Amino acid sequence: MAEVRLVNLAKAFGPVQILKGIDLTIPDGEFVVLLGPSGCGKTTTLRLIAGLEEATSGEIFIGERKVNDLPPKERDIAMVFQSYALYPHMTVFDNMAFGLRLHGVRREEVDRRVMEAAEMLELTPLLARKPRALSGGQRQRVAVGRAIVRNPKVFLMDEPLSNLDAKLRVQTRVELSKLHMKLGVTTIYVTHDQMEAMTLGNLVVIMNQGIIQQMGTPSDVYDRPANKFVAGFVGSPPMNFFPALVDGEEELFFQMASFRLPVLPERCAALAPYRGKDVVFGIRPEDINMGGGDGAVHIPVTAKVDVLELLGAEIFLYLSSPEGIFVASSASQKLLSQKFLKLKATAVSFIARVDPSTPAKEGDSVQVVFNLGRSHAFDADSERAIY
Amino acid sequence: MNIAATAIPKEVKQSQRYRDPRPFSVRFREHMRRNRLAYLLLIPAFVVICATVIYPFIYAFNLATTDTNMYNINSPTKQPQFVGVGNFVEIFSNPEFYTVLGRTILWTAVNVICHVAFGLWLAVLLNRNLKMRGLYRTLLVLPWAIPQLIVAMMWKNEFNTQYGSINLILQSIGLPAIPWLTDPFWAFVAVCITNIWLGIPFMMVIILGGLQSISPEYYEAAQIDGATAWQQFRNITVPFLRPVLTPAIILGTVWTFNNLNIIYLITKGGPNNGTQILVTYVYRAAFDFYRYGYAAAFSVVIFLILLIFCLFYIRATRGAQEV
Repeated sequence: MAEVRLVNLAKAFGPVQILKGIDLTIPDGEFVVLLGPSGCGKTTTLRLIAGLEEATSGEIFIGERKVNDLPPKERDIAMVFQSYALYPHMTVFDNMAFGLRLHGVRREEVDRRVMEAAEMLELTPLLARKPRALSGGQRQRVAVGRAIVRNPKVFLMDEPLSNLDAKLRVQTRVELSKLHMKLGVTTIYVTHDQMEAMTLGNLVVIMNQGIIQQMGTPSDVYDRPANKFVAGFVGSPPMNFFPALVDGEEELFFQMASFRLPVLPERCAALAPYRGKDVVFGIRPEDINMGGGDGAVHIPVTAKVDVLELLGAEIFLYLSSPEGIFVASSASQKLLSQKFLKLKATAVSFIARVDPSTPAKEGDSVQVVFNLGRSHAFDADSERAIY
Repeated sequence: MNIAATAIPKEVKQSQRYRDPRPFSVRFREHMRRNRLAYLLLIPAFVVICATVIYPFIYAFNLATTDTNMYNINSPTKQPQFVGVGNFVEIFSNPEFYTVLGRTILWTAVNVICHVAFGLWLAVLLNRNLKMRGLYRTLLVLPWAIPQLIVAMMWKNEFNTQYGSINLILQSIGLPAIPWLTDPFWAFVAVCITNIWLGIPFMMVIILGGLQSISPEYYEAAQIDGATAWQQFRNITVPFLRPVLTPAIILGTVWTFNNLNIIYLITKGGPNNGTQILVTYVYRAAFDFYRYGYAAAFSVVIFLILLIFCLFYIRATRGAQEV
């Protein structure tokens, strides 16, 4: 087991800068998930750690050793590939034993370790089979088995569940979690599936455009996103964003194109510098509910149901707010008039995740309540979280 | 219920399978009625195959059992006689057959081994990230694009003892000139060099195609597992190339075994029959001595030798299996 440390790590393929100097410390024994959209640099990061790509600049440490110049076999890592990369001409046993044999491990020891891993992964009855005679889930387990027999310091996993069907993916996710708890080996797992990231990782690293956007526990990145990208990427359906103006004198308001929400008193200090400026108001679909409001934290907004999606345990309401009356404070009215015109052009549609017993129908006009206690605000230019 | 269309599960044993109780003629008519279009579409290909493969094949087998020659093939007075296995007895009782057969096997083995070895080497080089890879590939494929006649003439000149460039180079570095086309051993070497030069591009292109179809992830997985370059080659490249190499080696063997052009154009089987292989021997029997029946029997023997080789080779390499 070992800590993995990346220092100002950069990678360019020709003129294309894939990684733009990332710093990351993965503590010993943690299950860290690199999460991000396609092309964000997460797989490149993994391949740099594995030694399959050469860094343009920066340093990689595994434990105390700088490994930049070491070939993959000397880094003491094991990798599970997206396609599993099982050797089709070898049996399951030979696939798992291949690395050990190359390292000159004695035959009895090879047998013992392969049998032990096969037992752990319930592969024992399949050891004589070739990969083509296995199901997707079994192949995935063999790929994991091949990695664990070598007792590496670090496991690297590159979207290992992406070729499985939805049901098997959930099942395998649980198995991987259990395996990590049992082995306690530092694991770096790459995925673009946020569900996998949130359920598997002790820590989640969100990446975009070659930059780490945020690193934290799953609840950190969900409840306290560092910026608008993280807020929008984590969560399904994604967070609702409303372009807004911060308006008011003593009390502050978010002025949207067609409705207005008060800023909670404890958030006023953070938003005060934004008075009269553009911000982005964000709220997750589960923080918008049906019903009345208390006028303080739970603020009612009238909206029309465009589409209703029933998912069994919940309903997604795709809503649009009807045009309302723009009321700005007299002091900022002049200042806001131009920006208001811009706001008016922005469609105000949003999603609410509500109880399945909700009697709403498509086309209905309903009153929904925004839970401002769980809302977010982002700087309109830098997109950083204000709170 | 349409009985013929009922699917029978694969697991059902032969003995348990449903047997259609209707007479064969009824089943045949129904089969033809249901597949009429398919058979109609197959007819043109079937006719062409009959004319170019099946008929000559049967004709050759038939000819092999006769004493057909120039004097009786079209003679109004003399008819070719049926001699049964007479031609075959003559072939196998001729000691020269075994000499030529041995030389043919040596010729084929040397050529095919060199084709595969050099083809593999060049394909592995071309599969790397080389600059101007396209140019190298074009240059290396060029021998394949040149007509064999031109290649043979070109190499024949190169092997000329007095003014061939090979001997000129050898002499310029103080080595004696080699009697390429006048000494049986060197003549055999010369035709081998020519045919190797000619055959490498085919193997290279086939192997390169095979190499490019191997996912780089296998090599990456092997690198992480700790495999050296040689271990990667042995454990990944070779097994993955097997399905490509098996038919290529079979084809290469058959073509080389039957390659008349190069030897005929460069040495005509000489000097002193030193470059005679089975197929040039057949050619000589048919077109120099006009013994068509004997030549046909010889062809049948060649066919059987190659058939046995192919069967053994496929079984030995299990190359027909999917990796």
